[in-house]
Amino acid sequence: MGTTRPSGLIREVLIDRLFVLFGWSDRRIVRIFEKFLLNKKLNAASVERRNALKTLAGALGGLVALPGWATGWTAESVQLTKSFLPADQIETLAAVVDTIIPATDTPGAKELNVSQFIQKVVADCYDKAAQDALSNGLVLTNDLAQKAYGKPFGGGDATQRTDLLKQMEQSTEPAQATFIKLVKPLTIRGYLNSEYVMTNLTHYEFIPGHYHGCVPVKK
Amino acid sequence: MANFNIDAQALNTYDAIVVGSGISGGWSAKELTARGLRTLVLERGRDVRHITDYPTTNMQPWEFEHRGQLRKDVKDANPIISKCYAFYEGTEQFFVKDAEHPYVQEKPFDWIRGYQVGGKSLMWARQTQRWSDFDFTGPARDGFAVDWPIRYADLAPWYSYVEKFAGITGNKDGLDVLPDGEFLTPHEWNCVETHFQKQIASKYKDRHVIMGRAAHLTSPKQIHYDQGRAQCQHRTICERGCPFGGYFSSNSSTIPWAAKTGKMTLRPDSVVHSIIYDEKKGRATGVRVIDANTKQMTEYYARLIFVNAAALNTNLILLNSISSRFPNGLGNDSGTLGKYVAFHNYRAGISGEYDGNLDMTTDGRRPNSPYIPRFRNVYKQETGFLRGYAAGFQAGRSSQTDMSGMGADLKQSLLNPKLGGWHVGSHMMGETIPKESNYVALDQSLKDPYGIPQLKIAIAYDDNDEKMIKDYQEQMTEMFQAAGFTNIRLRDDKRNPGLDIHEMGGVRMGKDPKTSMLNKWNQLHAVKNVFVTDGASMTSTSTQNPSLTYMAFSARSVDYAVKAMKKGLV
Repeated sequence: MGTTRPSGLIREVLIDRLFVLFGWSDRRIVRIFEKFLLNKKLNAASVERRNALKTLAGALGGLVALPGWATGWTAESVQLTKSFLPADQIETLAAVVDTIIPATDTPGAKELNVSQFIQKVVADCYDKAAQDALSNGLVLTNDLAQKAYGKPFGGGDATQRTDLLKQMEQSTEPAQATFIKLVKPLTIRGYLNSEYVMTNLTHYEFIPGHYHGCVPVKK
Repeated sequence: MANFNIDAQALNTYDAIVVGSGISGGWSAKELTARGLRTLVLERGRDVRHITDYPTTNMQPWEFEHRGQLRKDVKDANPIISKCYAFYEGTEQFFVKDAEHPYVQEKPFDWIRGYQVGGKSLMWARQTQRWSDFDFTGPARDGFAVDWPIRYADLAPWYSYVEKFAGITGNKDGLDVLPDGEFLTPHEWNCVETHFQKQIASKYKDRHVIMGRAAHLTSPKQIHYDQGRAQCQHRTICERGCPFGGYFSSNSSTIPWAAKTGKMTLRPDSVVHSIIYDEKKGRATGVRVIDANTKQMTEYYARLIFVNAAALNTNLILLNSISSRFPNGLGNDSGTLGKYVAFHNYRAGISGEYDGNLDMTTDGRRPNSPYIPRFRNVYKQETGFLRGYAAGFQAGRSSQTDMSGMGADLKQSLLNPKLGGWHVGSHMMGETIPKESNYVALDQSLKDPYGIPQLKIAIAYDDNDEKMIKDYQEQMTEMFQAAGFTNIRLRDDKRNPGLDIHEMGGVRMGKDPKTSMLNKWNQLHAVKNVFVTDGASMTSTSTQNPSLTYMAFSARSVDYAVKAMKKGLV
C-alpha cells in the first residue's frame, strides 16, 4: 500500500472528480496528494483516511466537497453487540466454521470472523426455525463429539472434527444433515465474501473500468 | 392582514411549477429554467444530493452487515417492494416502504416507487430505446386505442436533443423498428452473443439482435464533463447512486443543471394534494402542497404547471383536483382520466447453455446487454394476438465452485473455482393493450397519511397477454435451438402487473378532446396551462423502455409551452 497516496478507491474517485472539475491530469493530482499528504500514513484505518480527505479538501480551498460516504467508514462492518446464541454455542460455532474452512497458509473462517457473520445473518435475515436449527445443531454437534471422542466438539483434533462434520453431512438423521446444510453454505459465503479473501485471494475488482467481451481463457 | 396575504401570495408565486423531480420532472425543470422561467420544483420525498447522499455507493461487498441480503423484518414489513430486483441491503433507502404510502389493490398490482429528489431515475435500469412509427401508428392501425396525435418525426429531434445531454451508448443499427439516435461508443459483445446475433441474422431476415442503447457515459463529451459527470466505470452497482455520474439520473444531471441557472427553487418533502383551478380565469393558478413533516397545507402559484409525479401519482393528483367546473378531476371532460392504463408484460423468460467458444471468456462488467427489437406483427397483423414484444438477451460464463468436502480440501476447491460453460438467457417485454377496464380511481373512504384519498388500482393481464407469452416462449425456443443452445428452460413467473415498473397511461394524449385528456403538446385539452409529460400521458406502451420518450416529451412540451406563454396563448 502506498503511504503517501490515498488507497485505490478514494484515489480513483478523487482523481476523477478533479479531472472533471479542473481538467487536471492524473499525474498532477497525484503530485497534489503527495504534497499535502506527505506525512500522512494512509492505511486501512478509517479515521486516517477521513482526515486525509479533509486535509485534501481543505488544501483545495473547500472546492472538493467531502462526500457523505467518506464519513461512514468503520473498521469492522459486522458489529455484533449481542447474539441469540449462548456463550458456549458461540464457541462451538467458531470451532465448526474453523473446521469447515481451517487456517492453512492463509487464514481460516474463524480468524475472518465468519462465525460473527453467521450469527448476524441468521438472527436478522432468517426465521425462528432456522435460528433454532442453528442453536440445536450446535448442541447436537457437541453431544456427538462427546460420543465420538469424549470431548466437546472444539476439543477434538482437526481430523476428529472434520470426520464428525463429514459424518453429520452424510447422516440420515434429519437434524444432523439440516444443521450442516444451514451452516456450511453460510460459512462458505461468509468466507468468500470476507475482505481478506476478496482482496488478497480472489482479487475482486470493485471498479473494473471496462468490459472486454472476448478474451482467451487463462490457462 | 390584507397586505400580509398579498405578500405571502407574491412570495409563493413562480413562473412555473414542476410536480416531481424524477426522470421527466428533472427535464421539465432543466428546460423551464434554461428559458429563464423562475421554476418551483416540488418533490414529495426527501432531498438526495448527487454523491453526498449515496451512502452505500462505495461500500465493498464485505462492508454490508448481511452481505446484501435483506433483513427478515424488512421483508416481512414490505412484501411488495421486496419483490423488486433492485431492492436490497444497499438500496433500501431509495424505495418507498409498503406502509409509507398505502394503496388499494382492487386487483393485485405491485406499485414500485421511489420518493426522493431524482425519483426512480436513481435506480432505473437505464435502457433507452427510441420508439418508432410502428409504435405511434399502432393504435390507429390495430384499432385498440385512440390515435396518437403525434408521429415519430415530431419527436425525433427531441430524442436527439435529450440523448446528447443525457449521454446514450449505442450502435447505429439502421433498423426502422428501432430508430438510431445520438450515440456514444457502444458496449462490447461477448463471443456467444455475437454467435447468437449471426445465427439469427442468417435464419431470420426480420429478426435482429443488437446491443442495447443505455444511458451510460462510455465516451463522455464536453457537455457531460460540464455536468460534473465522468466516464462509466463498469461497477454495475448503479442503483446505489453513482459518484462518477456514469449513468444519467436527475440527481447527477438535470437537477444540478437547473440549479446552476439560479432560477430553480427545489422544495423536497412537498406532497402535492391537488391543482388549483380558477373558474373566472379559466385556468389553473397553482397547487396545494402538504408539507410531509408538518402536514401543513400551503398554496403555490404559477403561470405554467408541469405534472411529472410519475404515471399513477399524476393520475392521483388530477383525480383529486376537483372543482365545480371539473367535478371528476382536472381536465376530465372526456371521462377518460384514470382509464386505459397499461404496462409491459415481463412475465416470461428463457434460459439455456452453449457448448461452443469454451476457449473464450469475458473480462470486467457491463451495465447493459443485447436487445431484440420487436419482430411480431410489425409490418402487418400476422398472429392471433395484437402487437408484439421486445426481448433482452445475455450470455455469460461464471465460475463454478465445488462445495463438496470439508476442511482443507474444501478450502482448496473454493479458492480454485473452475470456469463454467456459457449460459444464455432472455426475458420478454410485451406491449399490453390499454383498456377502459384497466383503471385507477380514488378510493371513496381510505386516506393516505396526508389525508389524500388512496389510489385504487384495478389492472390485470388479459387473453392477449397470455397468447403473447406463449408466442415468446415458442419463438425464443426456436431461436435458441437455431443457435445450438441446449438445456433450454422456460419461465413464466406470473408476476403481478406493476413489477415491470413501466405503468403508463390514464391521462392519455389524443386528437379528440372527447376521447383523450391531452393534445399533441401534452397539454390538457381543457386547461391550457397544465402539461403532463410523464408516463401518464402515454396513449399506448410500445415494447420499448419508456423513460427516454418521457424525457423527449418533456423537453418538447416545455419548448412549446414557453413559446405559447410568451404569445399569450396559455
